[in-house]
Amino acid sequence: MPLKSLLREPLLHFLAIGAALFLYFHFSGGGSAGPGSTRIAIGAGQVAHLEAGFTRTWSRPPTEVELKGLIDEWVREEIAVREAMSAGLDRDDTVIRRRLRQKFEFLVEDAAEAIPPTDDELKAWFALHADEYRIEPRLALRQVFVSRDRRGAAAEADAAAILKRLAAAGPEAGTDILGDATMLPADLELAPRRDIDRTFGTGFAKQLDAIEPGTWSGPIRSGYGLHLVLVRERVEGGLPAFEAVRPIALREVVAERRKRQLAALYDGLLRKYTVVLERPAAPSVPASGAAPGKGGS
Amino acid sequence: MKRRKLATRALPTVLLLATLLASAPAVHACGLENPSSVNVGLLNLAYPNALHVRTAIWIAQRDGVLAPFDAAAMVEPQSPDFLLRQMSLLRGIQGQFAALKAGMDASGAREVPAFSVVLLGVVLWTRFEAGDTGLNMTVHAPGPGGDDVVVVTDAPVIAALADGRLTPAEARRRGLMRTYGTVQGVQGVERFLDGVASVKSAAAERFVATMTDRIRTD
Amino acid sequence: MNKRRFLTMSIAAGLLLPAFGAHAQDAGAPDKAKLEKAFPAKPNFSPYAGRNFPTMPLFGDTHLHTGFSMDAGAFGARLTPRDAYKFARGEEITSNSGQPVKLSRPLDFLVVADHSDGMGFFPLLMSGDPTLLATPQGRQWYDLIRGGKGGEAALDIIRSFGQQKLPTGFPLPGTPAYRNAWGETIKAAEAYNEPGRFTAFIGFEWTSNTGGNNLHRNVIFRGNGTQAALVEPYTTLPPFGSDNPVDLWKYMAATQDKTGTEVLAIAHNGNMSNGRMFPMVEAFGKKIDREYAQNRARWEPLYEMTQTKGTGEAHPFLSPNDEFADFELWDKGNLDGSVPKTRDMLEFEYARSALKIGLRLEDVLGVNPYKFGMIGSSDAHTGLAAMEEDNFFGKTAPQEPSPERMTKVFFADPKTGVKVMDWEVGASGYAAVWATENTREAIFDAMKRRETYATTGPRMAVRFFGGWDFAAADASNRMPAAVGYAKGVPMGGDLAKAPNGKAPTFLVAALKDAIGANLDRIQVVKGWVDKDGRTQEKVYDVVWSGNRKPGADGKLPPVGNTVDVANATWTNTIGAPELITVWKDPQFDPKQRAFYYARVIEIPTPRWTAYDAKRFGVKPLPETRMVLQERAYTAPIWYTP
Repeated sequence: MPLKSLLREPLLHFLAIGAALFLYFHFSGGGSAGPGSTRIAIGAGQVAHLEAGFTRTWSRPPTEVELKGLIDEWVREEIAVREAMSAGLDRDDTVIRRRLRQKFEFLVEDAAEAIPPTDDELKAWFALHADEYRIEPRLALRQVFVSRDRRGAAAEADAAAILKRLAAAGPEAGTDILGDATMLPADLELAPRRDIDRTFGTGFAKQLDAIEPGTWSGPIRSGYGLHLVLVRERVEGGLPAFEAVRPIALREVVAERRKRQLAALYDGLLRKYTVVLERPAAPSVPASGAAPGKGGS
Repeated sequence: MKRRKLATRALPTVLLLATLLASAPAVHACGLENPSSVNVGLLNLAYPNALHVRTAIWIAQRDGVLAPFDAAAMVEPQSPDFLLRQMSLLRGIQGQFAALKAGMDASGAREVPAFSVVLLGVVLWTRFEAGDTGLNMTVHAPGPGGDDVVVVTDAPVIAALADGRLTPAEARRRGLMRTYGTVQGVQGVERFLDGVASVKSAAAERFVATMTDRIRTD
Repeated sequence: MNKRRFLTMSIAAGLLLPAFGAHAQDAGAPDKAKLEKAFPAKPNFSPYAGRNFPTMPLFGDTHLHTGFSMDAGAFGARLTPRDAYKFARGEEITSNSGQPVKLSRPLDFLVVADHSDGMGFFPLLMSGDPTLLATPQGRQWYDLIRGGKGGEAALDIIRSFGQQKLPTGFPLPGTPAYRNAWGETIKAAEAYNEPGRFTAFIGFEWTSNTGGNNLHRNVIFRGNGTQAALVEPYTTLPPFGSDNPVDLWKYMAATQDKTGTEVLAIAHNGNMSNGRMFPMVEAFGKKIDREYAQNRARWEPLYEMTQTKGTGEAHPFLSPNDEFADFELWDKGNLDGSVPKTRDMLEFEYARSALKIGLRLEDVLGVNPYKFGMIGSSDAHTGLAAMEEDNFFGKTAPQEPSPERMTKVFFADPKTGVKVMDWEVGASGYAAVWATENTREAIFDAMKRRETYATTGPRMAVRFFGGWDFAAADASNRMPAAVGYAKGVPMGGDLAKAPNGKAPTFLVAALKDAIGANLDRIQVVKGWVDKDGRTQEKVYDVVWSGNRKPGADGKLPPVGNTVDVANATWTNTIGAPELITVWKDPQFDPKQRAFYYARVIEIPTPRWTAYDAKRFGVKPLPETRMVLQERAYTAPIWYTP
């Protein structure tokens, strides 16, 4: 579809920003035509921008009627702004100024989203940030539960005895008749720390760090009681596959792009302005000459 | 028979009530009828993060920078002695503002942009405008003036400022006062407030100055 | 492999393994190959591999508001849907009142369900939207709010909304403003939905509230943003919307057709409907008929029965013999306090009563309209699903932690005298779902089949199975879930036509929250229709901690209380970490319809008010509750003769 590939053109992207900025500066206060001007020009870039927005929301381009509606809405807004400004509604109204700034920045941000980042961009981001999304190490474990609630004071000694039997039986020991029945799983497939903690309680996974895979160890304590644990497998963490991180990369690259474009825009614009900081007259000093702020008591 | 007649007589009223009830707005949630929470809530939207002042206050109360929180001092609109307590609270605040004004006058208030102080709890506006002899203070202002810088704070902070236990600079630093407005206006007001000595020391200096004058003339 | 064979194998394995175990010390480890040869049908050594039943409950909130909701914004919420999802996933964010906040553990799923009426209005207005501010009405509201008269503005906005005299630019369905708000809601869910790790559902709240009587429902989409974007949320005022649930169901049917995905609705706060939540005879001028029942059952498979505005399972007036019925009640009136409560309303407001009415209506209409599973959720208007007692961030932005919330009034209607204090708001609840995996589809499907339970905050794991053949030994089984699914149906399921002479048996188990308090007891609540066509109910204590014995009055003694209110602490020296049992209905009549659900009760723990009193040093008001026994309620299992 020609429109779609047109929207992908970076040149159009910049044209859109340029056109919008031109319109903004041409029709806003800033010494030029100003609010008094009754001419509203809508460029191709602006129309494309409206279409892109609609398509994003509704997953299809607007019909003739709908596009006319969008343009009408845009014209209304432009009129409202100019009228409001000539009525002086924007003068020194922080919130209106903030809103104008917001609008200004939205143009840049919208453009940043309109064209999705390329795979290369995403991969470059991934190369820089992969460490933050490092896959946690995972553990597969078996456990035998010894209930303090059911055994009371004997629990510790019982756990030690069971541990001996388990150690002797080895990693494949049958556990069905050892320890106490529980809803807690006797076997956990490879799971990251957070899943282990959600099942056995915060801090349980940490205690397993010290355990050698392949040998029954313990007792490890949880909020439920005592556990004799066999770490069947420990899979070191690693970098995730790019495809797994792609949606996050997309989200972050678009956000970064927004920020960068905004910063670049302001840098460019700043060169256009002269900024002067006016210092107020020095406050009058009390006759006694005592420095303010020195408390007497 | 009699019952029937009553029913027919009541019918128009019932119908009227029913229509009134039926047209009652659908966008309610409980508590929306409590205007004071909504006043504060919407202030948080008009002056973003104004609500952070409330948190800063209880932290300061916990840390001893402000007098400890006093539940008994809370004035609920539903309590029977609301009006009396509200009036006495407002009187107290007025006095505190007067003390504050004196302190601010002593610091020279000729160029400060006009600003309005709003107290979160009671949503009370007090307006300050630079005049020839110092600040002109309007209590119970209906709202912020059109171009005013808005300073958001609350009664415990004003009390501490009036007592001289706290300076405006310190209050700002701890988030007990937040300023809103144009960049120039905010800078102007903040610079001014930061320069205001604690009320106590300002009063003390005025006393010393008066004494010094008296000594000189004796 | 069919269930019976598996069972035989398991029992055989259970019987034979001791032999292995006994030899193990002499003969070394049993040879895996030998084992597999002996029991060729046993598929894996790992019992959970290859299972297709859910093995871990997922916890979430189906009812959260952000600043996009008009009332949340009015109270000062500035957090957005994105903030809400970030927080629910376990990130630390800054609350509306400037305090850092983080959950003890991430939630597994979240629905941001902002009110469909006026979605996104206050952020739009207060950011200086030129269209709104160009209108005199919009400008007036804006100025009032900036002048600290937001309350007046809000009342005028509500009035204008009711009279449908709204300014151009107000977000109404079909306007660009509304599209943007809904679009942003969808985008936020899409951005934070991570299948397998965290599910972000798309949804909204339909806020039917005529006369102040609460008939609200949360609507949840099963599908993705592209599908949800094909429709707009349903509102409550004509012509776009309606306050009648029947019309909501029509919208839901049309939505399914249009989007190609499924939706469901979850009602809440019957306790503030003043008798209208579970009607028995008529609703909105129409008789409750078979069509109503079919639609209600089809579109509303769940009911949110515990949240910040009270818990609505049972009421002491309706269940005078249930010593646990008086729990976090909000029974003073309707939603805005404009009409006080009268006793005749209660029957049509509480879940247990509704389930009973449903049985009776099934007799009459042939369909049970009130056949729902139970969940809890927050209804927080802060963007923060923070419902733990020691980490409670209130229902509205002004109720975020501060010394004031111990003594402040939440709302009061001076005319009727209905008054609710901030301390009465409950730190409740969450929805627990037995889904096969953490994805939109799996969780939604679990909700549709009602395999859910409600909790008032803690994350206990609760199992409830019903069948004809559970035996006491099943309670000692190492894999109770496997037995449960093999021999019966899980919570939310159905039993029918009792085999000759048999009574239903239930396998029920609960495991305490891994970082929480021990359990006091598990109860089974039975409701049925007796031979005279009247509904009955009975609460059975089926398993409990310690060696307590029921007294002469049949009541089990309380478990005790280790709570030190002043220090807001408790100890797990009473209660049990885990309870499991098989229970058989001792008074079963195969000709009578019935339902059974499990209620799990923890030992007493400090309420959020106790944590506040300790942290802020504020003295609570005399009537403030400082201790509570948290609980979970499973979806029922229904019996049909």
